[in-house]
Amino acid sequence: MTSGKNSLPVEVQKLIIAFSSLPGIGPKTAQRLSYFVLSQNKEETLKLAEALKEVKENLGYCKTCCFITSDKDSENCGYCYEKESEQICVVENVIDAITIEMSGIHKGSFHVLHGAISPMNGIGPEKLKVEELMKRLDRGETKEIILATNPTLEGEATGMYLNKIISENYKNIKLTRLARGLASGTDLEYSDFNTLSNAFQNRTSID
Amino acid sequence: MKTPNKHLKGIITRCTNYKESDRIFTLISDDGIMKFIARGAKKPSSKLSGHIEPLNYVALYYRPSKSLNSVSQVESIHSFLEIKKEYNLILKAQYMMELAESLFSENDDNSSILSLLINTLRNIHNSKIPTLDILIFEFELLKHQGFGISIFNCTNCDKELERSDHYFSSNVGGFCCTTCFESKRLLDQSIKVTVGQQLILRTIARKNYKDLINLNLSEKEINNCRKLIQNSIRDIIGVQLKTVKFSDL
Repeated sequence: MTSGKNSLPVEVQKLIIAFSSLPGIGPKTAQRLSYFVLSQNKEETLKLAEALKEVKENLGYCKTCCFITSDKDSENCGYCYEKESEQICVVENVIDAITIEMSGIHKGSFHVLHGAISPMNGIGPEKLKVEELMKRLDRGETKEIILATNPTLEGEATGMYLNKIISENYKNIKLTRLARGLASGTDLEYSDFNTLSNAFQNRTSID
Repeated sequence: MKTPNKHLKGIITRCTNYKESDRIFTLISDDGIMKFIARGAKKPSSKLSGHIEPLNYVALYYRPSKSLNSVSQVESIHSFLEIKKEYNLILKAQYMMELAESLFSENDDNSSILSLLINTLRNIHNSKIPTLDILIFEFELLKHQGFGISIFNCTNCDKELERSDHYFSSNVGGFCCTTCFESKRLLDQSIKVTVGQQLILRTIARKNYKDLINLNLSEKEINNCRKLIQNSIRDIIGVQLKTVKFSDL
């Protein structure tokens, strides 16, 4: 079945539209991917389709830590159940949590905000998973919150907002944030004022 | 033959991540609003990374392209660090940037708007009432872009307005005297403007900023004036700015 002026079958057109809805994929790349799918054998393509279906049907976000989980309906996912909730590391996205987890530095649990405050994009605190974090803190198990939002304007604004509401409502919880300053492998001459200022403020003594 | 690099100064208003490690950003400069791509800027070792952040006043070199201009060098001139340390100031600064973005002209000289924005951003962290700085910014910006509010004469009968309460309507671009308002009912969505509000706006129009400090203004009075200006801005742009709800109004 083909549609009017466009000689491409409707199914292919639908596939192109579906691919172009993905971030960073333009119409040309979407076309290329669609032709690749057509050229692939049936088994491989169905594997991809099955994986996409399973992700959407079986996975959701944990009601406690907002990380990906297959136990959509339970209060605690296996991931946050295993971890100590005395120390919670607050991150913007799931990928950030995975990156920190892979480094093995943080032994406590995570809380994923699913974004950062961005007024220019109309995103305020109410659109983030802040309420879920407050519910966790209400349990009284938490001793420290590590703010690991990105060192961008949006990330900093989110950190400042969380700092304000947590320090006002939970006076016994220690609030820390990841150190700011020069990154390994950078040149001092190319550093911006913000990074340099942070590096000077957070300078350490040489043992 | 490669196109030679061009030089530009301006304020970065928005940044979005693109592909693996690139960033696309919007810059408001004397030449208008332009979009750029900074390749590899997300990598920690990139010489561009720290400079490409919203609310940075930067000087950059770029190669003009039919699609996205690619930057080769960026250097921060002013990072407004004092603003970036305070949550409320960040929200206010973002509102001003969005407003400037929406009123920037494509082909005109925008240098005076850019300097107005930079000066307001430079002063706002030292200001006793930052909302007043925003009101002045809004008022001056509208005036500069040809949308100035008529506050000395009635927009209907053109008579000089006396010292009493009047009405404001963004549809007619300013104040209307009580007589015209009552006789003709011209203004559907008009707002009553007190003598105090008129005094604030007239002092701003006369650029007597020092006198404003002596008026001992409250945030509430200033915000009431800002609500009038907001009506005008919404009518001019046609949409409500996304940052308005975050900027104390």
